[in-house]
Amino acid sequence: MPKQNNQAQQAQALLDEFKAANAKAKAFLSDLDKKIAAADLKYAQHLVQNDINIMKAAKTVLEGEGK
Amino acid sequence: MPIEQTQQHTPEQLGDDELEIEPETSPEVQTMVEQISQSIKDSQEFADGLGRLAKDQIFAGDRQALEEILYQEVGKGKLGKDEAPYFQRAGRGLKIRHALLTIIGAGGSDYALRDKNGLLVDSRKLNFGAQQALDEDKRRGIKHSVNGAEKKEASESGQVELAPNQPYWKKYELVDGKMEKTYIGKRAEKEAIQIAADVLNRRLDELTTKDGAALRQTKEKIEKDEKLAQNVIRGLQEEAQARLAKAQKKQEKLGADDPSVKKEQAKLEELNREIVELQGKSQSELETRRGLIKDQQIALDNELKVIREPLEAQLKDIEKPLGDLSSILERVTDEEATQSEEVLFRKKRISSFGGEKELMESLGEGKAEWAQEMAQLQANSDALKAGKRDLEKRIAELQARKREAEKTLARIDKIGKTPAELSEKQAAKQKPVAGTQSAGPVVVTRSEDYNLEFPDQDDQPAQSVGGPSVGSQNKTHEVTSSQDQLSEKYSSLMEQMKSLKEQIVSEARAGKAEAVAKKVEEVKQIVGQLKANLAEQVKHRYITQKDADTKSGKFDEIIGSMNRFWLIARNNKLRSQRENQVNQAPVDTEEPLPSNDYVEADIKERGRINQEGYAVADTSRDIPPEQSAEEMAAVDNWADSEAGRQEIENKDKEAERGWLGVIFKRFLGRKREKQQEVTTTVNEWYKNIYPNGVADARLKIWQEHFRAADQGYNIMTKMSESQVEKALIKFLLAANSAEHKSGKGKFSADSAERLATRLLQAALRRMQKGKHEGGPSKEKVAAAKTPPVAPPPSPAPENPRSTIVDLANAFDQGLQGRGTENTAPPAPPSETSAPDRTKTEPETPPQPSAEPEATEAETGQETGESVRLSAEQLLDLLGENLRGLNRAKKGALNTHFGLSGRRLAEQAAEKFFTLQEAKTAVAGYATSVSGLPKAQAEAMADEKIEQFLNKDKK
Repeated sequence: MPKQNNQAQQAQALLDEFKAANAKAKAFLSDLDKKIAAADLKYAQHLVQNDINIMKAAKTVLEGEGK
Repeated sequence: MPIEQTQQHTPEQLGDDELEIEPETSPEVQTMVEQISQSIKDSQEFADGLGRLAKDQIFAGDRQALEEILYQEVGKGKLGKDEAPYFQRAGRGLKIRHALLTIIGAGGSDYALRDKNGLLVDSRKLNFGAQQALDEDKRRGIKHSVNGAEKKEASESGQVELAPNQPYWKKYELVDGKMEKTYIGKRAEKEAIQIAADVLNRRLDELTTKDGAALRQTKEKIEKDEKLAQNVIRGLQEEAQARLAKAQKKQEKLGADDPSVKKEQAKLEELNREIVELQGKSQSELETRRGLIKDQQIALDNELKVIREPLEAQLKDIEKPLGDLSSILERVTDEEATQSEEVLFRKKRISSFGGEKELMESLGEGKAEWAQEMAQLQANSDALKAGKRDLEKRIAELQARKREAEKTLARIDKIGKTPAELSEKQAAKQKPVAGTQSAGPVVVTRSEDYNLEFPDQDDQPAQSVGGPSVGSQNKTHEVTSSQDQLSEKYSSLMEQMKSLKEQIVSEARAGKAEAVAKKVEEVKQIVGQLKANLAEQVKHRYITQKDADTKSGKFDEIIGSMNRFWLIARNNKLRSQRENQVNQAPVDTEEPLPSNDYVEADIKERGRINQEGYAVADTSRDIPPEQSAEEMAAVDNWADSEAGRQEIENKDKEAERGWLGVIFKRFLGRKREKQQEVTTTVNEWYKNIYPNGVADARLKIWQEHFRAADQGYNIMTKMSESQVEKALIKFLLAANSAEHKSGKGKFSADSAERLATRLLQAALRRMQKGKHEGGPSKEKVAAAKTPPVAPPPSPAPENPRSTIVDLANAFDQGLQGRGTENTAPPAPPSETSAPDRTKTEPETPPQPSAEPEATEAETGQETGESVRLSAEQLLDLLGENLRGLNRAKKGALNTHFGLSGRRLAEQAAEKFFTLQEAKTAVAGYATSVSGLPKAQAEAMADEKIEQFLNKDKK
């Protein structure tokens, strides 16, 4: 009986360890998503701003001289 | 993944202090984010790279280029009402011909056009002012829009297909006095980008060959003329000096008032005036010409600026996200390694319960929770992998664009430069400058304005494992001292060491123990510096110079293979240990190879082997209960089962790309002084993951890894490439032998083939080395001990692998002067016979194969015969089968003609060697093996090949 108790305790301890590891991994993933999204957004903001500038310049050149 | 997936998280998970997007966003913001996503997708297409940049930025203000990039001619059109105003009214003749057409349906003219009012005009005769208008159109590149009616008419009349929903334009040109109308449409985006890349290339070519070349020539001419002028002036100055000396002599002799002295002085003065005048003239001319060059240079620079600036801006733009994404990736890689290590560690413990089923029984009500956690474990792992893939994809795209921009910038930098200017620039570039941006390795920089560093989590130590790497990475690239400087430093350190050693010897003789101890400390310090110096040299050769990509790749490949085989060897050594077969494992104990030392230390310090053959930490929590004989047998059965084998193999793979690889790379790529820092970090890190006892134990294992990695690193640093290869062969042999003993052939056909090829090459080297040194090499013993590996799953009727392995053994035996059976591959020699055999090896002087005649004369008869015999055996063996022959020839070609393994493999994959090639290989082989004269070797080769072919026919 004590042996069984001991086993149950050990099993529970292992389960707890898995839980903790999973929670940690989840936190990491959530953080990772945030980081990638933030990097993307920064890059995207820059690209969009660039695109706008370029389009403005191109529009001036093309439409100004076009016809 | 990122943007869409973040929507799934709760605000608590995301935090609100550092992110600019929030999961709960308004529809407007969401739309914006979606648009941005699309924009990223559009802009990140690698293939677009330079073309898009050219289209959108470089040529954004260049009308002529844009015309070509954005528009294309879609076809010619017939002149109609719209063009009538350009022409004069029709003459009488044309009117009559046109009237005939209307009345009788015949006659008419192609030149008759009706204007909007129905009046007839003659398209051969331009109106007053029309010519001017057309010229102006052409000059300004004016296009006229095409309206819907005209589009419809043109399409319906079959002139040209104009899509109703697309914009079109038309332009007019005079060809042989006749007006022509051409329809113009817009190019598709992709095509426009491609054309833009072409235009950019063409523009750069033009600038290089025209403006740049002209400028370069002018510069070179000026340099040449300047030298010429200097030479002339120098000549005159020399003449003036001579005259001065002459005048002084005359003056001393005849006195200052002598007319001839005065005459001489006048001449001298005139010459000096001439020199001054010439100097001034040459100077002013050069200045004028330099001014001209300056104008040319400015014009060229302006042209190039338009191209250069967007490229530089792009590079700068790429740096930031690249740095950020790379640092995230580094962190993810570390995390992945940690997680897999942790999972592995815990899974081992599951087995201590007798398996998952038993464990779940022990859990009772917690069963469901357990299942849930296991599912979560898998989901986390999958998500991490997906995140990593995402990151890698982004990084690859950015790096490709970066490389492209750098390449183009390098091209631009060369335009208009003279060779002297280029080499000056190159020299300036090679000087160590911190943080310079060059075409070298991708230097990952951190941006300060938006820091994407992971925050210190509660359960994470303040100093993460990824931490030290970033700082040191920049440092690594700062240290760019040249190979020469490093070699110089190395020599000077060696000198110091030599002198210290001499001092130690003399002081030891004098009995000065304290002084000796002091000097020994100094030696230790110098050894440290030497190690660091060698590490730098290796880095310089393999890592810093990115143009040595292939070398670097090869190095990585070697390290990767070493990791794998190191692990296999270690595992099997441990398993053998468990089976009380320690002494039979053919691991060399004389040379401090990492695997061997590591395994020894591993066993000594921990002394326990878990079910998979890995050593485990000796802690109360970690040790599974004492295993009974039945349990041990069950484990053995498991290890022998398909599933067990599969799992072990997977683990090996995991280990190869996991923590060990990470550590290895860290050690190779970063300063070694960081070791302590890394260890401390790992210590803290582990203490946060495991309970205390376990953390200590795990840390010990890590320290072992560090020590072993460090040792391996030191060894590799000191080894030449071929020595690394040899060490690898040792690993292979150790692994192979242990595999064989445990009755499991784990090598794939490919690795077996590689092993065999290397064995063959190693055997060749041993033969040559053996001749030079006259003693047995360590590999020889190992090779001799190696039993043939298990046959590969190849459908080929013969067993090429064992043939080659046997060949390698046969070479060894042949070298020792021992005979082998010609008809069958030799049986692996027993372990006890190997040392004896090596002892009896005769000493032969070095025999360079280039001078066979001379060496034969020097070679003793007995040696010659025994070696020649082995050559014959070899040739017989070569003739055993076509594949065997082919491979042996490959080895021979490699050794004798310096063809690379890859090249050979390519050749071999394409065809078998020709008879001539075979002859050359076999003869060359025979010459080098036996020292046979060339003619004799060739004759033998001919005979053997003929025999072989006949045998084949039979």
